[in-house]
Parts: sequence; structure tokens; C-alpha cells
Amino acid sequence: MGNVQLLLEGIGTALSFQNLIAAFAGAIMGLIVGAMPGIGSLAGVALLLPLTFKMNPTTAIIMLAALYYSNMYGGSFSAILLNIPGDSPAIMTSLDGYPMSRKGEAGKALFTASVSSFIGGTIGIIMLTFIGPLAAKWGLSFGPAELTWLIVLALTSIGWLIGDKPAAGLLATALGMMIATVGFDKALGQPRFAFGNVNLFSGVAFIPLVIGMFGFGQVIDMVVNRDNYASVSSKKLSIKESIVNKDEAKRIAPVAVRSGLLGTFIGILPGAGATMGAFLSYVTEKKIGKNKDQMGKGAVEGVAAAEAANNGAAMGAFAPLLSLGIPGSGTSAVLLGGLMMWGLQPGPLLFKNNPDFVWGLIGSMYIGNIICLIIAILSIPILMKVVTVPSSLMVPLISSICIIGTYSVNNSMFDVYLMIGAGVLAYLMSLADIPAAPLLLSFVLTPMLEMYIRQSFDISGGSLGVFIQSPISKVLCTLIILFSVTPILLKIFNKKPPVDMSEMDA
Amino acid sequence: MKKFVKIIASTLLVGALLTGCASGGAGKTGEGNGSFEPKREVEFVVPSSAGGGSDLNARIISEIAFKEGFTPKNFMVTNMPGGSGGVAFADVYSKKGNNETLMILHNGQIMSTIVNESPVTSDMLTYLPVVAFDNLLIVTRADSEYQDIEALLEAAKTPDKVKVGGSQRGNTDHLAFELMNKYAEVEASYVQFDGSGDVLGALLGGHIDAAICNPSDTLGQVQAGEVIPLAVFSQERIGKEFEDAPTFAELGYEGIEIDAVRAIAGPPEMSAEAIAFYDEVIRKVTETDQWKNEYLEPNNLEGVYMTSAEAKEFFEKEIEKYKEIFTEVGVIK
Repeated sequence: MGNVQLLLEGIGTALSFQNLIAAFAGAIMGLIVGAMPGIGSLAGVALLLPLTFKMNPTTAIIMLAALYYSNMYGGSFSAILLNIPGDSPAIMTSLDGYPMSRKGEAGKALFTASVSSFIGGTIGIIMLTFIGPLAAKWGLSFGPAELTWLIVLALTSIGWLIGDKPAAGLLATALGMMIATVGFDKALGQPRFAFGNVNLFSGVAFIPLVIGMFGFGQVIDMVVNRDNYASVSSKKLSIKESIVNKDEAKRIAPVAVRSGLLGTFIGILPGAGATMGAFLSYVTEKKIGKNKDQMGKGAVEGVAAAEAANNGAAMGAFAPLLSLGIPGSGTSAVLLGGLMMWGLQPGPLLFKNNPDFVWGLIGSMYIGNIICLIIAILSIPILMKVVTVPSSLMVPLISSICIIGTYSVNNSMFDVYLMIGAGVLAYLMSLADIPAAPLLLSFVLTPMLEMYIRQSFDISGGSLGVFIQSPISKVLCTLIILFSVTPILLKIFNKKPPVDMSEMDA
Repeated sequence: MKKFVKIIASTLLVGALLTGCASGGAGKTGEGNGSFEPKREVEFVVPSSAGGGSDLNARIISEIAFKEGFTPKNFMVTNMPGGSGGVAFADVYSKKGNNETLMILHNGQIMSTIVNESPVTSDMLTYLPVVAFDNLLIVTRADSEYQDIEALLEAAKTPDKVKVGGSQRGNTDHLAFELMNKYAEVEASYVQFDGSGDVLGALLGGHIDAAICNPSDTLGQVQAGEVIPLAVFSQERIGKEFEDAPTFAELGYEGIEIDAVRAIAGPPEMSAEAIAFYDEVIRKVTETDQWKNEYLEPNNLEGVYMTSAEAKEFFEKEIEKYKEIFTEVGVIK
């Protein structure tokens, strides 16, 4: 295989002193940027890009790529410890990560996240190495109509995510969609629901929303239910406990492999990305996993699914970027700009014209992923100390992080007020048992959904036929119908026991 | 009830922290005393997604300005796609009086904000220098059933048969498309995407029949032979890889001619000292060899430099022209 030889040469390139340092520096920065709420991989890569202009292109991309994928590791830290996802792909991680941390298993959650990230990332790199260009070409067959279905699939599956209360999940989804429609209409450039407020013209920003709903909502809960939080801090935590045992490793492994594959695949598609990868993997596990009932209450499977998938997706996004010159995610779009700045011509000839660059990058990913794993695991003992901080200190601390994190993004006080409003909303929702995660996910996905629907209609000239034209659309459409009808059918068939119960109660 | 008090208490706690931020936020825009220098990193807003022509423009300017030491503070590029440029316009507009914000201004966005009747249009912002003229062309994929522009136009006589993709609505891409529809007397349909990367993805995936973009967007695919240029919207043929693509005038279609203009803008009420500072920085940038060799040359651009004052005059005339064309082709009603 030519690829193997090129890969070995690439690993050789990646092992040069300066490239190793670049991968290491990128990995550390990515972990920090990922862990900090408010700054995601997109901002991180964009901030660092100008500093790489003087470097040679291979070293530069190695550093930026390391920042990108290690960001996925870092995002899980604050999601698990503080219930504040560092970036949107980590939203799903917090669903099980934070409950684990509250049970006194923060170390275990962090360890699971790191190992699963590594597994997902490695699967992504292997796929990129061997079928990257092919998969990227195939990914292009997902046009607007297919992508519409993919998002609809994600949105409908929120019903399963919150198994016992689909209505609450759907309500949150609808709320998220409504919030997402505030601001400029993407197609016509008209402001919607902005009420003449200039701050709302560009829509509700994601960062204040996510920090408010998770972080600040948490603060309110900590103040209100003080007694619940005292117990955790007094528990002794040992590092030994954080290493997963054999039984847990057996539970994590298949989940991580499945999610890594699915995540990579989603990452390759144009415009889907890590958030959707993590989300779809999580719901898949929630549906087919062995331990599905425990998911959402603090199961290692939940953390593993989300983390393996978002790392896989980060790697997958490199396939269309390198082999076609077409970005698969916001972050890889910035990297595309980077390629041009370094004097390379992105496009189908990149593999042929600049093999040292492409294979040096791919080679460095294998090494960088190992570096990330080591750093992440070594930092667990330090990170675990966060859990032992008494809540009397945590409350002002998290509040400050929330406010500074929000304010620093756009230097906008409006965003800070928005963040606080979102926190209060999240708290009120939690009183009514309405989950916040579906709201945030539908908020992220709705603008894309709107754009793809619009493009599909532009293409079809207004006919609905475009949505069932291609085989991919047909498959996705069937899946959606199947998934939305099955729970209802199951409910009808299983109706008897609950009916009896209620009669007994009466 | 007790819970309620606690909620209030925690919100108040945060209020205390807020006051700190608010007072820090106010009054940070430095008053100009004679000469101006940015006091913090300058935010350089790109009104479209990363990887496109505007993005590249912003990144090369910030690179040169920083590398050559023309500015004490780095220009940080922020991508703000959406609303056909309206989102970024509104954002920059909301930073009234801020001297540390710049935005890439492309005549396409000027058009779309007018066409879309956006609340913020370019005349509400501060015009800064014009730096380059760019070409537009229509391309298709190599295995397309339309191997030349005549075949495409012939097929496009059937209404809505030919799908042409472009970035954003009311943009230069869209105007080029409308001009083609009107003066070549065809009825192709326009599919709007967020950025040129997305348009090319859809073209290569076979979801649209042709794409309108700038030469730099598709150079890589043209070199690889996966995309073929069909025709250019400029007055003359553009060189190198695009040599084979005729102008519409050559084909006998008059009036299908449009250039993209690349310029810079700032928030409203930017101080005169700041405008002078950026005029100077941009002038220096456009005089470097790197600008010519690494930006203009490989991207088939025509270099120009107009000061902020000249740019203002230029755009006022251009805007009249766009309004006329869009009204003529029926996009503005």
C-alpha cells in the first residue's frame, strides 16, 4: 500500500523536533481553550492562526490541528466538573459527566472521557489515512436535501434522549428552535423577532446561552439547594478510583468504537460537525446500548459515546479539507484560509503536490492524539481537586467564570444579561423537569436546518419531491418515520401495566 | 418562598460582579489626542464564513500589517456569516464610535443590504480604503452535461431547469446571475449558499449545475481538472488557468459585466485620527511585495488603493449603479 509508506514518511516528518514541539504546544493550548467556557476550537484556531504565518506550513498545521482535536478533550473537563460545556460538542458529555462527578466519580468520568476521546480520535485518523479522499467524495453526495433529513433525524431523536418524558424534551426542542429564529433571516437578511434591538439583529449568541443555561443555572441551583452540594465535597477522592476497572472498560470499549465510527462519518459530511456527531452517537447508545437506562444519570457509556464521537468528528472534518479543499466545519474553514496564507493551494491536488504537508499532518495526528491522552490523564489529579472546593467558594467562582467568559467574547454587556436570563430560564425549566440540552442542540441545529430546507426548495423549484429523490434521503426518511413511530407503538403495546397501576391508585 | 429569596440573592450577588464589568466596559474607546494608535487588538470582522475571498483578504491584510510592524496591535479576524452580510453589518454598526473594529467591505454585501432592505446599510458605517477589484466567473464540474457556456444557456431556456449556486442573496454573485438571466434571456434558478466553499461542495456533489464564484475560490479544483470555467463576467478574459473561459461580450451578450470590489469599513463615528491611521496602514500594506506577490497575483486580482474619502465618493456612485441594475432586473421592487 502506497498510503502506508507515505504515512510512515509522514510520521517521520512529524517526529522532527520542531514538529513534536508544535504538536505538544497545540495540544496544551487546545486543552486549555477547550476547558475554558466560551472559547471553542473555532476561536482558538482563529486566534492562533496569525501567529503561525512565519512557520513552515507543516509545522503550522500540525500545531493548529493539535489545538483543534485536543480542544475536544478539554471541552469535557468543564462539562464534567462544573456542568459547563466548554464548547458545543461537549454538551452531551455533561449529561452523564456531571452526574458522575456529583456521585463522587469525577475522576472516573474524566478518565473515561480521555480514553474515549483517544479511541474516537484514533478511529478517525485511521479512517482519514485509508479512506479519507474516497469518503470525502462520498460525503459530497449529501446535498441540502440529505442534510435536511440528517438534522430532522437529530431533532426527532431528542424524544428518545429523554426517554421517560418525551413531551418535556420536545418542549425544550421547540423552545430552542424559537430562540434560534431571533435575528437575521439567513436567506432574506431581514431581522426577525428582534424588536428593533440592535443587539438582537445578529441573533441570540450561543455562548451566553450555553454558559447561562448550564453554568449559571447551576449556580442558582447550588444556592437554592445548598444541602445537596455539601455532601460531595466532604467525600474523599482518590486517584486510584478514577482508573476504570475491567468491568467498566468492557462497557466503554464497544461504545467508544461505535461512536468513534459514527462521529468520524458525521465529521466527513459537509456542514454537520462534532456537535451533531456527539449528539447522534449519544442517542444511538441511548437506544441500543446495554446500559441505556442508566444513561443520563451518570453512566460511563454516556461520557464515552459523546467524547469518542466528537473526537472522531474533529478528525473526519479533515478529510474534505485535505482531499477536496472544501471545509467540513467552521474550524476547518479557518484552516482552509490558513492553507492559502501559507502559500498552499487547497484542492484535489494537495495530496499530490504537497505530500509532505498532508502526510506530515496525518502522521502528526497519531502522535498528537497520544500526547493529548497523556496530558489529559496526567491532569486528572489536579482537575479532581475542583470537586473538593466547598460550594461556598464554588458559587462566586463559577459566577465569575460565567460572567467573564461571556463578557470577554464580544465585550458586550448585553450578552452578560442574556447569560443571566438564560440561567434563570434553565433553573425554572429544571424545576419543571424540562431538560436544557435539547434546547441548546436545537438552537445550534435550527439555523442550518432552515438554510438546507431553503436550498432544497431553491433546487427543486418549490417541489417537495427533492426530499425523497436520492437513496440517502429515502433511507434517512424511513429511519425518521421508524424512530418516531416505534416509541408510540411500543407504548400502545405496553399500555396495560401502567393502566392497571393507575386504577389501583385511584 | 424561601427558595425565591435565595434566587433573588444569587442574582444580586452576580449583580455586584456585573457593575464591575459595566464600568470597565464604558469609556474604553480612547479619545484621540492628535494621533491614534489602537490600544488593544483590532477586531477585523469578515461578513462571511472562513475560507472565502473576503476571509482571505482580511487575513492577508492582518498578516502583513502585523509582520511589517505597521500596527502596534494585531488585527484579529472574526468570521460573522449570515444574513447576506447583514449580521456583520449590524454587529459593526452596534459598535458605534469604536476605533478598534474593522470590517471587510465587499460591494456584494453593499448590494445585499440594499436589496434585503437591511436595517444597517453601508452608508451608515465608515468607509475605509478600497484595496482591490476581483473577477467573477461561472464554473461547472468536469463531468457536467454542459461543457460550455452555450450549452448551459441553451438548457437554461427551459425555466428552472438549470440550477446556479452562489453565495448569499443580492450579492455580486446574485447580480451576475440576474444579469445573465436577463441579457442572455434565460430562466435559470439561483440557489443561495453561505459561502463559496459550500457552493463548490454542492457543485462537486452534483446538487447544482453551475456555480458563480471568484477565481481564487476554485483555483485548486480547476488545476485538478475537476471544475471547468465556463465564462467570465469581466471585461476581458482573465489569465492562466482561466484563459479558456470567454467573456460574455465575446459571445455576443451585452451588459453581462460585473466586478467585485474589495474594501474595508469601520463602525459609525470612527474618529478622524483613527481613519487617518487605518488609511496609512492599509496604504503601506498595499505597497508591499508580499501583497502583490502573494495576494493579488495568485488570486487574479487587480490592485487599487483609494483613501477613505475617495472610497466614500466611489461607493456612493456605485450604489446608484447597483440600485439601477437590481431595479432593472426586478430584484428591487
